[in-house]
Amino acid sequence: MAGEAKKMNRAQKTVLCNLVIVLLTLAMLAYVLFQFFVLKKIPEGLAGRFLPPVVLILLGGSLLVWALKRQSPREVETDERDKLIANRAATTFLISAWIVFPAISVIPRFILGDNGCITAWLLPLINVGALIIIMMVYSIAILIQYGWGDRNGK
Amino acid sequence: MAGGTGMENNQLKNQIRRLRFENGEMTQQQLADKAGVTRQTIIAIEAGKYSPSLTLAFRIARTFGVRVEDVFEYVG
Repeated sequence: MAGEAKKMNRAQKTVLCNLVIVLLTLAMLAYVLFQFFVLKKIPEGLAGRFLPPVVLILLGGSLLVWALKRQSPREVETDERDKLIANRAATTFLISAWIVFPAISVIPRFILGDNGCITAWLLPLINVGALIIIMMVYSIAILIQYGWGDRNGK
Repeated sequence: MAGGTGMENNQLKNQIRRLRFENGEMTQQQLADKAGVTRQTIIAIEAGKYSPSLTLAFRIARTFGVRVEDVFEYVG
């Protein structure tokens, strides 16, 4: 991992960092929902309630420091290739938004039927879910264009 | 040299690796710093995975003190 990481530039590391933070947040959310809805218990004590977010903040902070650390004192932040990759990823972002948002709007109809109802607080949650999916598509699009750390490029 | 990434079949051959070693075994990072790009871009150009813009091609050639056609060759 250290060798691969050394080959990554700041843009790659930032995107990888975003992806890991999103996945960690989703894992933490799943853990909290599991406790609430399956085990039906609320975590007790300060450690039980605040340990997951504190761990997430510490891990996220460490990843950000790693991503923003320069490889060389004269290292440029972005160049023409980074901009080209970012533009292509932005196109992927827009295309996936056009696909994911309508798809996610239709899914409740298939689950609940034509006359089904959902509570109002689920709507923003569904939209945030769609946004997370699109952000992950954007990050993966960037990483794929870089070749997952340019492992063949040396 | 339209500036392309990744997956296209590149027809641009380059002599960057040879020129780096002929110029005091210059590292990819040193060349990147002099050309004003990231090391990953130099790696991609050297491997033929990215076609640089004309401006960058001239900057790389100027770093080695040679003409741009001494660095890049179009294999049609």
